[in-house]
Amino acid sequence: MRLNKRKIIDRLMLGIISALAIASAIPIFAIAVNVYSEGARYISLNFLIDLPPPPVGGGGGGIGPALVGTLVLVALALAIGGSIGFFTGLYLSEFSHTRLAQYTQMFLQVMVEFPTIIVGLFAYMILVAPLKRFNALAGAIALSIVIIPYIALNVREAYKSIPYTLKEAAFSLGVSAPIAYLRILLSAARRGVLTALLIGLAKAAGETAPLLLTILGTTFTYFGGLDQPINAIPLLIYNFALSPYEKWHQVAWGAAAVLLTIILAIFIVSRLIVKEVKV
Amino acid sequence: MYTKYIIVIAAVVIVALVSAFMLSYLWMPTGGIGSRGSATTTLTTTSPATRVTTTLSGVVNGAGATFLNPQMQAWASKFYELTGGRIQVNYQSIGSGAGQAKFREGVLDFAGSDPPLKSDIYNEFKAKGGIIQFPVIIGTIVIVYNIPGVESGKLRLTGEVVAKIYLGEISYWDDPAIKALNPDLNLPHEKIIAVHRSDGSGTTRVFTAYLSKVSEAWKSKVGSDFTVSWPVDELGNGVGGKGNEGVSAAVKQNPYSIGYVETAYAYSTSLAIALIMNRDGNYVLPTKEAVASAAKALVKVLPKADEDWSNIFPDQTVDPPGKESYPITSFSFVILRQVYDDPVKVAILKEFFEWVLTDGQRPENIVEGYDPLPPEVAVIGLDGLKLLRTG
Repeated sequence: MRLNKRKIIDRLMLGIISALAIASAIPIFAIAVNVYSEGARYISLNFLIDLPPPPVGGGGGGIGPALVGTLVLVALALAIGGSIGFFTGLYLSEFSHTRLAQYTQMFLQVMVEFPTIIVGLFAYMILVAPLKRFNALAGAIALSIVIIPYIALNVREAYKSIPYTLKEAAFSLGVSAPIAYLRILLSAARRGVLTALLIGLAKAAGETAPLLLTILGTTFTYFGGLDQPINAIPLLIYNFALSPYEKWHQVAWGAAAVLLTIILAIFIVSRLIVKEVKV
Repeated sequence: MYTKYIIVIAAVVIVALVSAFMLSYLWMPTGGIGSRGSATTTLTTTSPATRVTTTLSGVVNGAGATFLNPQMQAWASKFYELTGGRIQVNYQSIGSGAGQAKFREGVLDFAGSDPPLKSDIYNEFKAKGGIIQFPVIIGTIVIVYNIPGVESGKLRLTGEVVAKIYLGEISYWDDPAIKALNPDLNLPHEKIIAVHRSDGSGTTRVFTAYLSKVSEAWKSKVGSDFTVSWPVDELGNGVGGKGNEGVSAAVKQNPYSIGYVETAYAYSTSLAIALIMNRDGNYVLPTKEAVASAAKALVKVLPKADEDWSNIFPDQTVDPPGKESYPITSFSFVILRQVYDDPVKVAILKEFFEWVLTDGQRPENIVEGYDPLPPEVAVIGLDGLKLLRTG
C-alpha cells in the first residue's frame, strides 16, 4: 500500500517534470512558428537586395543595406573576436595552472554576463565620439568584445577535451609549440573550435544592443566604408517593429525570418559538427 | 617556454589593433575623415530651377525624434529618387533626447527633435558658431478612449475635464462633468483608467503644456515636462505605457481607459478619438482644416530659426485661437549647425531641407497622421537655411 503510494507520487512528479521540460522548449517553437508564419511570405530575392521602403507608397522594399551590413559586421567581429578569443582559449586550456589564466578565465566568465548595451556605450566613447561619426568599425569592435568570452571559453573546452596522451604524443614528435598546438592539436580539436566560432557568429549576428550606440543605421547605403554608418538586421527590426506603419511591420517580420534562418542554420551546422565528434 | 609564442602572437594582435586605431586618429584633424566620403564630389551652382537635378552627391547623417522618423524616411526616399540616388539623407530614429545629445557631441550632421533646444544648450551652440532650428512638419496629439459602445468621434471633452481625469478628480465615466458635455451618450458607471507615457517624451511635454494652459490646477500641481508625476497614479487609476505604441496598446487592452497619442498611432491601431473643445468653444477633431487653422494662428508668436524657441514651444503654441483650430498641435523640428567644415555637406543640407519645406509639404509627400506646414511657417526654415555656411 505504502509502496504503491510512493510509486504513484513518483510517477506523478516525473510526469509533471517532463511536462515542464517540454513546456520550456515551447517558446522556441512558438517563436519560430510565429516568425515564419508572419514573415516567411515577404522573403524573396528582391527583399534581400532592395532598399527599405518609405512608410507609405512605393514598392514592398527590402532589407538590402541591413543584410549587407550584418554580413560585414559579423565577418569583422569574427575576424577580431575570433582571433583574440581563439588564442585566449588556447592559453586558458594549456596554461590553466598560471595565475594569469585563472584571472582571465574569471573575467571572461563575468564578461559573458555583461550587459551588451554597456559594451556599446564603451565603443561609442572610444570609437564614435572621437571620430565624430557613427561608424561600422565601432559596431564590429563592440560585437567582437561581446563574442570574445563565448569563443574563448568554448575553445578552452575544445582543447581541454583532447586526451592527454594525444598531447604528449604531439610534443614527443619534437616539433615546436606552435606546430604542436596549431597544426597537430588543432586538428584534433577542430570541431570544438569550429563550434566555438559558430556560436560567436550566431551571437554577433543576433545582437542589437552593442549596435544601437555605434553604427547609427543607414537607409540607402549598403556599405560606405568602415568609418561610415552601416545598418544591421536586428537594428532594422527594432526600428521598424516599433513604428505605426503596416508596411514597416511587414519588413520587420520578413527581416526577423531572415535573421532566424541565419541563426538556426548556424546552430544546426554546429550541432551536426558536435555529433560527428562523438561518433 | 610556449608561453612566449602565445604572448608574442597576442602582442602582435594588440599592437595591430592599437596602431589601426591610432592611424584613424591621425587622419582625423582638419576634418579629413569627416569629408572623405564626399571629397571627390563636384560642387555645382544650385539655382532653384535645377534644384533636384543637381549633380551634387553625397550622404548626410541625421538622427533623433522617433515621431519624425516615418515622415523623414518618406522625404528621404522621395529625394533619393528625385536625385537618382546621388543624395542620400540617412535619418535614424533614436529619440529626440538622444538626437540632441549626439548632435551636440558632433557625431551627427543634423538632429530631428520634437522639442526645440533648451535655453542653455541653445546659448552654448550660439557661442560656438550658431545654430538654426525650424519646424518641418506638424503633428497632432489626440485623446483616445476605449468605452465599449461609444464610437470614435462621439465623445466630447474639454481640456479642463481631461486635466481633472489625470488629476484624479474625475474618476468615473458618468461623472456629471463628462455627462454635461455628452448629454446624448449613455456613459457607464465605470472607473476611468488614465493611460500615460512611462518614458520621457516630447508627446507628454506638449500634452502637459496643453493641460497647464487650460487648467490652473494642473499648472500649479503638476506642470509640464517630458515626464511628470501623474496624480492619477497615486489613486491607482493610472497606467503607464512605453512609447506611443505602449500607450495605444494599453488603451486598446483596457476597456474604459483614456490616453493621449500622436495621431498616426491612433489611426494605425484604430482607436476611438475624442472631440476636444478649442479656445473658441467649438468641438474639433484634428482634420486638415483644424490643424491648418491652428498653425496659421501661431505664425505671430513663432520666432526666427536662429532664435531661442524654448520659451515659445510648446507653452505658447498649444490651444491657439481660431474658430476651427485644433488645440493640441505640435511641431517636429530639425536642428542644424550654422557652420560645417565640408562645403558639400552644407550644399546637401540646404538642398534637401529647402525641398522638404517647399515641395516636401505637398499632400503627396506627407505621410498619413502628419500635417503639412502652411507656407507662413515653412518660411521660417527657408530663411534659416540661408545662414548655413562653410567655416
